[in-house]
Amino acid sequence: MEAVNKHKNASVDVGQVMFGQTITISGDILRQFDGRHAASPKKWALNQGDGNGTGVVPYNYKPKSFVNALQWAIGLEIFLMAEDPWRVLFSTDHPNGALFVRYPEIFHLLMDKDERARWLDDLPEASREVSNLAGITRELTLSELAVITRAAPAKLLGLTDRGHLAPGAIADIAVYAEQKNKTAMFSAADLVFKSGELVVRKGKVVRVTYGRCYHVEPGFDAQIEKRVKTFYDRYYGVDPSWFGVSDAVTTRRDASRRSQRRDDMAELKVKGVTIIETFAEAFPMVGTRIIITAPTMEWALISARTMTGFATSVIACGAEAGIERTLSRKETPDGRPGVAVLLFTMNADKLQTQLRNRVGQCVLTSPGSACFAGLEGEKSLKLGSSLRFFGDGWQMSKVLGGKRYWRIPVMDGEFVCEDKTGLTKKAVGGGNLLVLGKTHAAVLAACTRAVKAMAELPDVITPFPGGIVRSGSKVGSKYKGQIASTNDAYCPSLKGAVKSELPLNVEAVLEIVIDGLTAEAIHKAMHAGIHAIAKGGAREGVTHITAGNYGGNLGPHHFHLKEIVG
Amino acid sequence: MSALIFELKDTPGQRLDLSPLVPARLAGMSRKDIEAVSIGTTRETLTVGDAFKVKGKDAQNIHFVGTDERCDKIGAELEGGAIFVDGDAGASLGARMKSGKIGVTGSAGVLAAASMAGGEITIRRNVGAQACGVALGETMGMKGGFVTVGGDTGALLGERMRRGPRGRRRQGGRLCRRPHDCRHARAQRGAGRYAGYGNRRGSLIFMEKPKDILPTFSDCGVMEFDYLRLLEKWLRDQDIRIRLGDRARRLMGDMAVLGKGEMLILA
Repeated sequence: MEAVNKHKNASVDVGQVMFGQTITISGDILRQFDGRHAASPKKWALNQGDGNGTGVVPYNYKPKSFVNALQWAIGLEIFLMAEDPWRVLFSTDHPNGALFVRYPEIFHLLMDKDERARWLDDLPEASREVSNLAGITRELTLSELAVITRAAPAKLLGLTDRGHLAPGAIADIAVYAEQKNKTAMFSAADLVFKSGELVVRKGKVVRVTYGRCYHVEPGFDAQIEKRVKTFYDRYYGVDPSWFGVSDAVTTRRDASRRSQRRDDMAELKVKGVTIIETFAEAFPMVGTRIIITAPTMEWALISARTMTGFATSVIACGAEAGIERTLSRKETPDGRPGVAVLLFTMNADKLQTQLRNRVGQCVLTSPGSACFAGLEGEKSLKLGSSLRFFGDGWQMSKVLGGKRYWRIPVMDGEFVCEDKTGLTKKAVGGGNLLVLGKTHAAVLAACTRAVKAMAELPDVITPFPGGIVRSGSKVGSKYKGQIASTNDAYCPSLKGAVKSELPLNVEAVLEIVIDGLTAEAIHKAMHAGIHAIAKGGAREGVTHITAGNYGGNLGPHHFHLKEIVG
Repeated sequence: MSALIFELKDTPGQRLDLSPLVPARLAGMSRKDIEAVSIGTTRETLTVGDAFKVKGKDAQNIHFVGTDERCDKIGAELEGGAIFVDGDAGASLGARMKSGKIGVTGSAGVLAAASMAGGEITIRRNVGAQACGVALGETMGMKGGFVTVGGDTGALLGERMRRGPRGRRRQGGRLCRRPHDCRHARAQRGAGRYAGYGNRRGSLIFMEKPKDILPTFSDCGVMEFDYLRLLEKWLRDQDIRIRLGDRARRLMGDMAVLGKGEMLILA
């Protein structure tokens, strides 16, 4: 302590040991494992499951133990030999040195040399000999005690608004009546003020108040989840969610936060259906539009549906495609019934490949069909110019109004196909809505309504079967090579097993994915979709509308539901 | 800005070479300069001012008024802009033109649209021999563009129509021999002899079957052509209302040169 006293920049954090039963808890798994032999009683628990194990070892500090007695004495020596109480911090390293309920006894020892002498009498002779405690006559004052327990820690942490009783400071206050027996004095406060309210009078609780639950959501790089997942998968064979702390653990939320949340929710309800304050995260794509015509609308639709059939997700299908709308005879280049089809991929090369393959296999082959450009984009894609070779030299092209059309002889006449179509790089993919409800029937009916409403709007498609997807996915899987797997957070059957996003009363979730030629088109489609979903009101059985995102790290387009509803 | 109008004063004493009177050459010229341009074809000097009354300013939009069959090379080598002829046109109307539009209310002489490479020509009445054929000094016929004829066509219509040089221009020319409106259809005679002679590419579309068809064109029969629907709609957008329908007899040739051009005779 001479060295500490000498160096003004040194401070000491004491975890005072007290005799009696306690329990030690530490993340130093090797120290705890080594100390298991000293467990008293002989039961201990070590957890080494997540790379940061925890050891729980019960321990009984005994006055007859030379080592324990020395541990006890050293702590007290430090407090009593420190010349400057502002550089000594008090605790028991709860529960490792002692439970915090032993504080009154420690205070008594620090403030009363006679009390220390009584305790020293019970210690082994050997301990007394090596300890200087018996020779220390200093008794800490109440003020010094307040410094080592409150003011000094606050000061060392740089907290100027607490640790003292100056006007404007933050404090809970305990008032004690002076007694000779300090243990008795500190064991029962006469008055306790908490958050400005009197809660204890003469040792009796007169008012119950709850503390605050501070909820911090610091941002983090979502990519770390992937790395952690890979690490856990490799070394432990379990999902990191096993070690997650669910909201259910913190049952008592902060009152002010709760009310704030209620206010938010009140603003985000449409006909009783809760709109979760989140955003759909979408990403840039390249897109094109083509027009397919045929002798009848039936055959135009057959051709278009075949072409867009296996085009639900770029993950496995190469493209996302769908029928934008049907076209009347007046709207098509050749005056026949037609269908407008939108295709999206992640880059122009893939779009070109998909366009060639799909038009070649599904439109060229379809009876009586013709295919035309439907978009004048900033760049162009080959349409007929890559299919013309099917004509084996018999194909011919005609230019009308600056546009080239290929005439390719086929068995039912000619396949007319425009030379090129436009490509836009402003397309957006992955707009989405997640619909939660009490019954499958209710959610399906609401989603069907939404898809129908979106189909009325230009420049967007909903690529999944009927515009709805029931197998929403998350990135990655526990299985090697599986790049996407079930979105377990939204699977109602896994509510109790994973970190679920679903309330208990939700039985079904369906998703609507929206791709558009522009972000504005998706915004409008989501607006129409949300209102169509909520049209039936909460009584229909739909409870929530939310959206999928990846923490903002996937794409630059964030469609906030609150703004869209507004 | 009003169109640049050339109104013929009197019947010229010689054939006129009007090839200098195209937008690209008249742009930026004063009226005085324009009137000084020589258009004679004999040793007797003849200028624009001698033969035409010049009005207006817009050189991109040229009107010829009162012209006759002695006014040759109207719109020859045209490379943009529009020329409207209120009257007849002489030989080589739009010969070698690359782009732009020419409209003629009357008839055109021989070699109309000869060796044409692009643009559109509409002739309301008849056209002389070798229309869409081979321009003087050239070896290939029409290789691009679109020509519509309302009346009769002379012999050797579309002679040696083909692809462009070295295959760069794959677009063959087409000629739609049609009446100005459908009421005159039956009154018109067919195309002249040897239509499509030496064709390698391109389409000739006839409202009615030509009287003499080269035996080197192979009959492919009658079928539906979506292209005709496309064409009809496009013509309507050009303010040319004509009923093409969607069925036609296709004759392919000229097989004498292993051509893959075609005649479509509307069914």
